[in-house]
Amino acid sequence: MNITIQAEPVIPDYGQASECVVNNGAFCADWFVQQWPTIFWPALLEHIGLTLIAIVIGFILAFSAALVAHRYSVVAAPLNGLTTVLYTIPPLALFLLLVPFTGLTVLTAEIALVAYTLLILFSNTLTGLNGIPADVRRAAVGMGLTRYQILKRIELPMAVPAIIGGLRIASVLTVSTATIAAFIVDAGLGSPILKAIQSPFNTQFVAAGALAVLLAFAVDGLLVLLGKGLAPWASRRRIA
Amino acid sequence: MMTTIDSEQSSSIVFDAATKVYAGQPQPAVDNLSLTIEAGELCCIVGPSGGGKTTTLLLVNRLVELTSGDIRIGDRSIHDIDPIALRRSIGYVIQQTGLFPHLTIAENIALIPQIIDWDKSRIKKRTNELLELVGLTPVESFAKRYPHELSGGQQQRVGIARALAANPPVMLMDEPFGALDPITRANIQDEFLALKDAIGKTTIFITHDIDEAIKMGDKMAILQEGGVLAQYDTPEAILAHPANEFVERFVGNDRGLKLLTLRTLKRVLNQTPNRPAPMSRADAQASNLPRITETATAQAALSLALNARSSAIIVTSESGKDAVELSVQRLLELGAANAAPAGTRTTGAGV
Repeated sequence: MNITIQAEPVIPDYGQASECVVNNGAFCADWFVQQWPTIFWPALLEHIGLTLIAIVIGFILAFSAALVAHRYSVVAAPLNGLTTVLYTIPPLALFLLLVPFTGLTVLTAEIALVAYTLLILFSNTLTGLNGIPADVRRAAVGMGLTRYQILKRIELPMAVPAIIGGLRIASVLTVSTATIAAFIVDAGLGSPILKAIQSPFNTQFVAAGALAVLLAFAVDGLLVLLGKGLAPWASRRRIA
Repeated sequence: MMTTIDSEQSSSIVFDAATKVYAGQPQPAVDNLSLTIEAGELCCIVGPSGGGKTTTLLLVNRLVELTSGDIRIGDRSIHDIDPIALRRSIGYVIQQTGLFPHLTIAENIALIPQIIDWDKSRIKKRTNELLELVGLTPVESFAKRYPHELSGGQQQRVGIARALAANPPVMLMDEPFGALDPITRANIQDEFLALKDAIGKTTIFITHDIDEAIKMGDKMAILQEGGVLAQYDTPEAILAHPANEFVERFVGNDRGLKLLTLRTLKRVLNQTPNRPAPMSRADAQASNLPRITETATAQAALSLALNARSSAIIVTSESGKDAVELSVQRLLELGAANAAPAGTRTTGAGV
């Protein structure tokens, strides 16, 4: 064991450091595999949790708001304005803005993450609900469907592609924004990245960053599949 | 197949001084309209744009509410029926089809029966029956497709089937074939005419095309600007005796020719007391005059003679056994003769 080799990266290597780790290579697979159970896997799970909670709550809020705006068109513009304002605040600023109220907690992170999903989810859902062609609407009313039946049987199913589109953008956005949440709470893939910035060790932030990208791809892929399942007519139309 | 469609279920539609003035408009869109469409009849409402055709139609299913007057279906005023229930008892077909793109053909047709809680087997039976009725066979193959996978003509057939689904006593059709190409249009018109007699629904059929109105209508109501009824009668009576200058202009200066489209050669020949003597088989075979069967219209016969530059044609019976020689002069005399006075034409017969 050669103690003199102890180089800059202050990584707990238990004296087993490979050459890659010692030279701070771009990506050290051995170290990554070694740290997977202690650093990356928990961070990935936390990240999925952060994202999922934000998307679910954001969707419930935005979807309800879109239903209200669809029924009462006067509130559409104010709601759109509100979600736009929330969307334009820089993430770090919003985090810091919330800290005095909710502290350095997951709650703070989630409030901010939810706020960023609202614009896309709200406007896509509303566009989908309002986007029913005039002839389809006229036929539905003329056939004797009630307002609720038109919403349930015509408007909502036809809005599915637009809603899924919104969910795809919002979830990719949330996966990426959630890394910034590490400034507030020690959770998610942002956490190893932030630590790697403080003590530069390439593999740590490269791996965490790559995991975030892969997670975004995976979520997007799952939503595409969900869309195909829920609206088979839309994908068939594209082929036709 | 057709016997399962309840053809007795049909009601008259009565417009009683029906008037619609849209808010902010000085002139009525429909002005004091009174007419009766007998049960089972098809009435074409025709006129220039701005004549209030579509408004007239929408008044019936209360997508537009009357300003004054009344409309009765059967004996009931439409005001005494809940609008949702009223609309479910009216088949509604529109030009752009309005098919639901996210539902299969079968699901489109089944929507209203589902909503009014028919049981599954009855819905399935009805759907198959209607697809067959409108000629979308094999049924199994069409039932599962989505609207955008069908041609325009096929989509409109689905639109008609969907309107018939819950077996409504009344049908409203708003320029149903207006978006189709001329060939598809002519085909679907012919099919609908055949269908119409089988289903026997009282139908209001909006069109801006006078030829379509003449072809489809048992009666024609001509609306002029301002939603005023200019004339209401059989197509034949209107062509033969336009009520005023507006109608005369609207039906066109070829109304004599149009009248010929309403008469088959069979009818033209039968209506004359001195029917031309049948030709002998040898004469008929030897003659090189152009030939046409008696089921064709007088107009087609005239056109044939013109094309062949022939002053006479041979009209053969459907079986092809009998033949008569008919001069163009005679054809014109017979074709234009005895234009039926108002109201004597029987519904849908022989045309």
